[in-house]
Amino acid sequence: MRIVVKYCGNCNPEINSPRIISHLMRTLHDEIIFHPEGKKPADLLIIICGCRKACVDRPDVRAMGVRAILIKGRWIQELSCGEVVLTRLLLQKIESMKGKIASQTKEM
Amino acid sequence: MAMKTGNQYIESLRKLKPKVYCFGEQVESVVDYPLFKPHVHAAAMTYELAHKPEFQEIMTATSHLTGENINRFTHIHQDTEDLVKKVRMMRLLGQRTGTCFQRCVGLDALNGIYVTSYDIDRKYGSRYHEHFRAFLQYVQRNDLMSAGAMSDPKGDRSLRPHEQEDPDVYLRVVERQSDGIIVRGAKAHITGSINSHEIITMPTRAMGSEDKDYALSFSVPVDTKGITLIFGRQTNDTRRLESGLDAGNPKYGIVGGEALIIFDDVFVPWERVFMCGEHEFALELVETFAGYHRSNYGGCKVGLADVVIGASAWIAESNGIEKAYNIRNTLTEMVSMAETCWSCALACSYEGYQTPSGAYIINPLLANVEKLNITRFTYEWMRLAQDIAGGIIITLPSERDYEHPEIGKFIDKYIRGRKGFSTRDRIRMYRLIENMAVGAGLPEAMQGAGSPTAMKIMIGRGANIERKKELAKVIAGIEEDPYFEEITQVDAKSKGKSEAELKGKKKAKAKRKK
Repeated sequence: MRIVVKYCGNCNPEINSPRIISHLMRTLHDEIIFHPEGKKPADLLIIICGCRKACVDRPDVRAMGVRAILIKGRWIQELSCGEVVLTRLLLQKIESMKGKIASQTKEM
Repeated sequence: MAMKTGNQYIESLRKLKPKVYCFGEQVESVVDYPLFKPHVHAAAMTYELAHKPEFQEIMTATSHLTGENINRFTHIHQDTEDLVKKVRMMRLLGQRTGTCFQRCVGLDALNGIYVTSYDIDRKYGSRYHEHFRAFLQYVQRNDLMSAGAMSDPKGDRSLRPHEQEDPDVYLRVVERQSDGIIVRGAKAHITGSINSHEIITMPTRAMGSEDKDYALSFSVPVDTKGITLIFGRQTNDTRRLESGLDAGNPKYGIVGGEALIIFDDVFVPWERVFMCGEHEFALELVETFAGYHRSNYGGCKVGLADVVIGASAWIAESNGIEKAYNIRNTLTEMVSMAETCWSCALACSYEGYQTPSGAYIINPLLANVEKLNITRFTYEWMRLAQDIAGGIIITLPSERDYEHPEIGKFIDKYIRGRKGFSTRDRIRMYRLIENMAVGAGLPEAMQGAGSPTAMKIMIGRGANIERKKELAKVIAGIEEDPYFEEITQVDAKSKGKSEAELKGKKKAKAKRKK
């Protein structure tokens, strides 16, 4: 799966976003890119913001992926948790999305 | 129904018959009672200015429920621009009234309950949010003023609500019926309650499972059977019964006009209940409401600061000292503090974000920092206003002496200042400064929207000290600084260091890591 990661810029983050993404890169065997080239959206977009303001959650960013997971500080998809749990939840969500994509491809 | 004008608001209050007591007597008509009139006028300004083209952009909004044009005091914030316009509205009204205009508490209660009732329904599948939206539509359509009632009397502060000797010192449910609930208890220091249409209650603190009868939020009309409002005294309150000149701000008064509200077995239909027993959401509602409310103070109190800074500058001019270095310096200090608080108000609004309900909320850390600044800076700019005005603000003779046929001429002669400034106007301005800088406005700035300790708790919670420690460890060299290492590598290359040297550095780094 091709995953695009978009950071918010981390001006005053509540979480260590690079640490979370590093963990992802070590754990997953997918292609993770930070600077997508071309207009074709990735299978998954991870928008990782340091706080709930989520200033980078914009339409032009959303267009970078077919589907997206949004992290807003300690919040992942409107669920509040610590960084360790957040990382685990993020991995779970990615795996579940992979499953969905695989079954969709099978149907096709 | 269209938005009310100031006058229509006043007339709408005449139709209500709340049970209000003041100075040991039951008040027949809230709008005609001389002690209350300035408070009613201040609240009426929130209605009147919404009809003026010059203020409409910030005083009105489009309802997300009906698409109708509504008074912003009944609006649910739909984006950060709404949050910004809200604090702009607060500053505007502070400038135009020189006092508390009371209606923001209800606005914050509407927004706080909108957010929390949604979250409760999401967890329990209840219908609070649906009921609340229907109530909100009623408020918007009828352009109602709601009193946000949060503070319970609290009794023994070391005990939780269910541990109190008198179980009524926190507002609670005493009976659940098929069509509604019966509530008993009280809410204290409730701003604008006597001249509101509705009273919206919220819990005052975090609640445990044993406190579930106290985890309560609802709305009732102010004249509901079983409700009694006892109006609070203020410093120099009876001056407004004596004369216009001595009152300082006879049109709009000082602070909001607070009351102790008694709920003596009041029936509330389920359609007006927005939380009943969901104790784990009590804190969320408290913090959401408090965040909204604290963010207002950098608007309204700065509006008041604008007035008192203007009054101080005018007095200095009438004394012929406006060019003196110390006066200019003092005024600059006052402006600097006021604009610092304004910056916080804007910042916490611009840094707001969307909640699951769709409504936007301010940045809670910045809002609490803002209000903590207000608790300090208000005292400071009012102290400086006293400094510029001088001791005369507490020694001036009364209006009756000024109007006295025999001695009035002496006051006119000896209180006079620079040519071109009448003694009467000078007395007016001194009294305004006295009203704003000496009276009830100071503790209101300190305690309104919660005590400084409450703000510090919230600031501590949002401070993320752990991350600051991590930052310090990197700068001190305790932790690795990958970005620095990248820089120095480039630097080394540019200085012509050999590849071997760079490799050596890499090896050393790997060793350190081991």
